[in-house]
Amino acid sequence: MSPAAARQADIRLPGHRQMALGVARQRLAYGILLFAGLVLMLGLRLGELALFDGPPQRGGAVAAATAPRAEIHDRNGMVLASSYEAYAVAARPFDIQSNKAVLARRLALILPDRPEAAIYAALTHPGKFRYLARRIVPEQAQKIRELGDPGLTLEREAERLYPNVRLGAHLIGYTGLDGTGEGGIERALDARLTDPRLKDVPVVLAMDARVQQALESELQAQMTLAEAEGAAGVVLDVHTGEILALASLPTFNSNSPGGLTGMPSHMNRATLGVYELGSTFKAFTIAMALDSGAVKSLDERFPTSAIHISRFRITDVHPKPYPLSVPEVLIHSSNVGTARMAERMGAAVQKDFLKKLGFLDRAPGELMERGRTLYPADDNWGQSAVMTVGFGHGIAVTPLHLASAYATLVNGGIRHEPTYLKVADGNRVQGTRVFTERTSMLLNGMLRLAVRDGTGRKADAEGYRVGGKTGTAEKVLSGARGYDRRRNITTFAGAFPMDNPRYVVVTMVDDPSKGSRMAGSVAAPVFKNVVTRIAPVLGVAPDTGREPDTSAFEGLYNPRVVR
Amino acid sequence: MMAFQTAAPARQPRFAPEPRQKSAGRRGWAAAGIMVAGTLAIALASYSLSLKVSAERAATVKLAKQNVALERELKALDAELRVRMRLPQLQRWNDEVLALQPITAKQYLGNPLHLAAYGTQPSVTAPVAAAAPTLQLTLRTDVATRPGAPEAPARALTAAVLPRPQSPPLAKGATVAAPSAPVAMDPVLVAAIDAMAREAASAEPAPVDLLRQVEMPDAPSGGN
Repeated sequence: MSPAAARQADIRLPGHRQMALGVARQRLAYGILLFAGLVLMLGLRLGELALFDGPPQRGGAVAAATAPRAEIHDRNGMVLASSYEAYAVAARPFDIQSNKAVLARRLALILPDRPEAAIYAALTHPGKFRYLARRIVPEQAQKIRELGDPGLTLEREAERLYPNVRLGAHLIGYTGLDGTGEGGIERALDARLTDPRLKDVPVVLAMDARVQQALESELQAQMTLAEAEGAAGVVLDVHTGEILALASLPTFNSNSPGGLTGMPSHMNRATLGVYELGSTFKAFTIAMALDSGAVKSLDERFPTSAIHISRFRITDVHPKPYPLSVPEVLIHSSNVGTARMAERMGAAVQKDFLKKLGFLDRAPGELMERGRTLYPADDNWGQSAVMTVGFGHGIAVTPLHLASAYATLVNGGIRHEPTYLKVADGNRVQGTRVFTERTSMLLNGMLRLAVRDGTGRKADAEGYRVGGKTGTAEKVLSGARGYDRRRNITTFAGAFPMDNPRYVVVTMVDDPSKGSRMAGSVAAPVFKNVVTRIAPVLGVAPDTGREPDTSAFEGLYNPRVVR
Repeated sequence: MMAFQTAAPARQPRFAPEPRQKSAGRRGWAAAGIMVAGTLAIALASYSLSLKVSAERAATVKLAKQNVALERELKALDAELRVRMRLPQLQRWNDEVLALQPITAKQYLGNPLHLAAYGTQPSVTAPVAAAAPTLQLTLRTDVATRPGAPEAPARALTAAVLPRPQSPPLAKGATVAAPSAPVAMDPVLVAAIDAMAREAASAEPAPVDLLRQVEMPDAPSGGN
């Protein structure tokens, strides 16, 4: 107490006592008012809670319905991937109260997929935490909750459901245990799929599930029949670059992909695997030669006698005893003829065209599984490389590369970057011109002839004016130099309808081991079956009375005599 | 402090006459009674009103919750339906039972001329196939001749291929269609497909739950 204050306290005036009493009373009144106010507030709040059950609770139940990841739809709105609620059940072994053996038996009854021994092992595990099962449905979760053991934990998890199971697994991809995309579109568009603002807006793919199903089932059928190692296929819209279907077999179940990313089934053969696709390249070489002016006229003749260059010897599989015209080179799939054409145009022109066709870049599209193509090094791109690349050897590309380049070739010469996402009608991107319109038209006719009168006869889907080219290449020996003569990669790349091409289909069967091993008998029938199945779906009507204009080739080839 | 000091003199009206004081007190009581009654009435009215509002609100919340639950159920059912009608499964059914083929170029008729040309073909299958494209359905012979299988498939085959006889042979349990029923709705055929579906269902019971169905490895015959 300061000296001044002490002095004040000492002074006592008359009436001071009354004043002090008044002050005390005033303070008491304030205290009473305060407490009364508090009690009143509590009472009011109690009354409000009792009468009006509190302020309305917003968001709780309603918010639970939205998924943490956007859906994926195909171009027609069919759901390819959606999220649903599931549970994971885990054990904390130290907190388990009941008899572990009995608990394990009860859990095994609820979770039929898990063996009792495994459950018991998890329950007796010396660690703190152990998952017993993931992706269990709410009914099972309820039953486990009713067991009532404090050592069992149920965690809510958002799970991804792929209703079509294996269909398009490589394209759609899959998600890992933590819900992030780990393959295909799920990985490539992970940021878009998890964007909270776009959760309710599905990602619409260019894929048509019906086309995908047709492609996969036909490839699978041929793979089983020919006892092949694998197969791949692509269906592409030539005018927009939309990938309507992309198949890679063997495939896996997106719903339970397993952690085996090194397995053959997890390898996307259509976009990641690079293959020497052989004779399918001849169409490009002819187009390049015509476009660059290296070959001026269609009736130029090319002898079929073997070429010896450095350590290579280029021969035809079925040499003709007469020099071949340009269309005949394609129809009879002459290695020598295309090698001669490539030789004439030279490395610079060839490389320029390959670059424009996208063959020197990684596989196009949004997926992250994009194969890097193999081609001769710049200092090694000499005369022999030019000739071998001319008929599709010494350059390894993915089936998607091939499909994209064929689309460029047949659609009038304009390259559209392939995309897995649906292109809205008003959103078409201007492509870049690679070939002239005339070259494209000529090649369309030649490709039609190659099917009608050449090696691709088994691909001729009646009425659909199919055009295309077979390709049979020997597989590269693993761990050694050179080729394995007994193992082939058979390919068919083509388009339909050839009078106004709309879709490109590429089918590839890897290492057929039963029956014929030539593309004309393995990959071509798949192409035909696929076209017969998908054309009605895609709105292409067959017409046996129509044929693309092949009048430019009159007299330049011998039409096959129809018996 | 001031409130207490000023309140004290107001409580003692010293110079008021006696009768006036009495009537004023009565009036005061009446006023208080009216006030209390009015307050009570208003309180009761607003209480019932707020009760009504809260009841409405509770109902809305309940409805919203129900909506969410139904939405979730709908989603689950939708997912189940989508899994059950997945394209590989449809393909398997087609491979094993229906054996439908894609339409061939010859089955597309561009104009009446084609139709006329189609009709003049000597084959008896032509008019039926032209009239009802759904009858491309061809039944496998092994299904028809399997022992224990109903006779219906074989008969359905004839019904599909030949022009309809005046009185079509009916399978047991098949409903009799009106005579004017289109060929595509042939009850014999429908009964045959039903019978086969039932047979398939009895041979292989449906999987118990959705997830197991999803994770079930594809049957070896189906491929994919």
